[in-house]
Amino acid sequence: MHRYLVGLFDDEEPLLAAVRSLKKEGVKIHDAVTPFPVHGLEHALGCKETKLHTVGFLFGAFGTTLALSVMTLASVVDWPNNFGGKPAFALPSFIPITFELTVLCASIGMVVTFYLRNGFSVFADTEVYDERLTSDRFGVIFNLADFESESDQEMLVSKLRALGVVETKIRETRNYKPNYDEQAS
Amino acid sequence: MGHLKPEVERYEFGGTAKTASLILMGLGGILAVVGVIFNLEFMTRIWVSLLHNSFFFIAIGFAAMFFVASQTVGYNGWFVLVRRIQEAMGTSVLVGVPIFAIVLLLGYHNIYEWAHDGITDPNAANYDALIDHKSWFLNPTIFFAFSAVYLVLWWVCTYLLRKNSADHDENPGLGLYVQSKKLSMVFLVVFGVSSSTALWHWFMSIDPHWFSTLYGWYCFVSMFVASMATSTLIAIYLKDSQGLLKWVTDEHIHDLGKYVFAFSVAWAYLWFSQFMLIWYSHIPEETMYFRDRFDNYSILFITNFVINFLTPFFVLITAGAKRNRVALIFTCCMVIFGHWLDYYLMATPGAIKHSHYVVEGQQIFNFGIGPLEIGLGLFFAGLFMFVTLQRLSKLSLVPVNHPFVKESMVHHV
Repeated sequence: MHRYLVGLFDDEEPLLAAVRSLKKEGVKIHDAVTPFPVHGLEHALGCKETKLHTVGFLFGAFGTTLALSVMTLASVVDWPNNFGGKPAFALPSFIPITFELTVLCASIGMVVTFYLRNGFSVFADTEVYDERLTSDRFGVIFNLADFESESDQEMLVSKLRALGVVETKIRETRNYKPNYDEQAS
Repeated sequence: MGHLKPEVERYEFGGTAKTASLILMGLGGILAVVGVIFNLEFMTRIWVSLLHNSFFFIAIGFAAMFFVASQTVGYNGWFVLVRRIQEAMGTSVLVGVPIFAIVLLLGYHNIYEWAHDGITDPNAANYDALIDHKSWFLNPTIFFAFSAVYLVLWWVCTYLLRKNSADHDENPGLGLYVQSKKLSMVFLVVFGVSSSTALWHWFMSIDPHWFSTLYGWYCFVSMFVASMATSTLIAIYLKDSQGLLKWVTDEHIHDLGKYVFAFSVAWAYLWFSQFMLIWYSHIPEETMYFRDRFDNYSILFITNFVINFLTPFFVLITAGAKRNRVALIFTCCMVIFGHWLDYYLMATPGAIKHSHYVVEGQQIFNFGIGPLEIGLGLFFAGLFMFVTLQRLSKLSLVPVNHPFVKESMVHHV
């Protein structure tokens, strides 16, 4: 069992202010979940830059290589044909397909990577912190493994109250939920 | 967000920038005069270079205004803090358009093959049936009538957009904003259609036997990238060296960088599509355009692609690079030069070829880039810089009454 403390806010501004002030005090935040992207939240949390671009680039490079090698294999090595006097290795006419495959591989690769990394799947046992986080609540999540003693937890809750939290609750999940840096990398 | 209050910021045009633009003009002028003296027997080279340079810099201006119009129609807020830069670039056509018009009027006879004497006369020695067939479109009357309509329409729209923006500084309220939206729509339609058709006359008809349906788009994207790169450079100059634009952050610069990157890719897409379709279908009257450039301009032809696509693509591909001033300034300079070269390659080869200059028994196809081209380029760049910065100093850099100015101030991606 993994235990998380969920602090729910009813607007983005108090959430941002709370994250900033908690970070300043050095309180360890596990994650922040909002119904829509909040500008400046990643910066306030101090997220590492995502490596998803690099993944996209690598998948794209794979698509380029795949397209070029299959076409070269087919129309140069295996079965060269004469099309209007063009060379068998007609690079310009390979480019459109190469372009399409690059885009396809990069985009699908990125989506799949993102889903796998964040534990999204049709078959995954999704355990959300709180269902209202997808509609009208803005949550800061703390991993209670970081706040083991009873007094630490009480202190945290009282700090959150002072910062304008609407509700706090403890959520238990069967699986470990990755924190914001682990999701991005 | 009530605590944000947009303040008037003013740019003083003087000091280094003024000196630099005057030096550019002087140096360019001297080089150009030297070039002209050495090329008096090759008048076509002089005229086509004038056409290329005078058009390139007004194209940057009009494309900048097109950017303002497109962002206005798109309800975009982020660009409000940099829009005065594009407006100033747009108003620089005030000087550029008359020069361009004079070049067309005096030089068309040299630049365009269809304007040569006897080319549509079946009894003349140089009769050309194909040009004769196209002469309903390619003739001086249509050419000048259309050119006048395009230039006047674009100029009027640009002028009204700028005037509207200037008036808005004095009159708060939404009335002028709504008006600017309507003006922008008109300009988008006018410029979107006529930038293509104008280029048929001004540049594509330099090779009158050849045509390409992609040409207009391709030229438009070329001028658009150059214009975005120029406005990025001006924004960086104002921010870093003048300490102005205090509300403009890395986020705005990043967005401008994205435009340079994205439209460089769009340019490459169109450049390649035009080439690939012609290469593949292999129809003689289409391939000769590229044949000429391959045979006589091979190095410049490849350089064009390397500078305009590979450089921005690989330098600016990461988010960090678009926020890195050195990478951004380097790419923008390369891209501006690259699109200047792109227009050179559209204009010059055809004009030189049909002039049939023979030196020592050999026909000359390529004069290369000499003092004439570089001089005129520098001269027009200096002129453009002078007028743009001078216009920029006329109004506040922050359009204080624009309804989206606060959105732009808190812009974050």
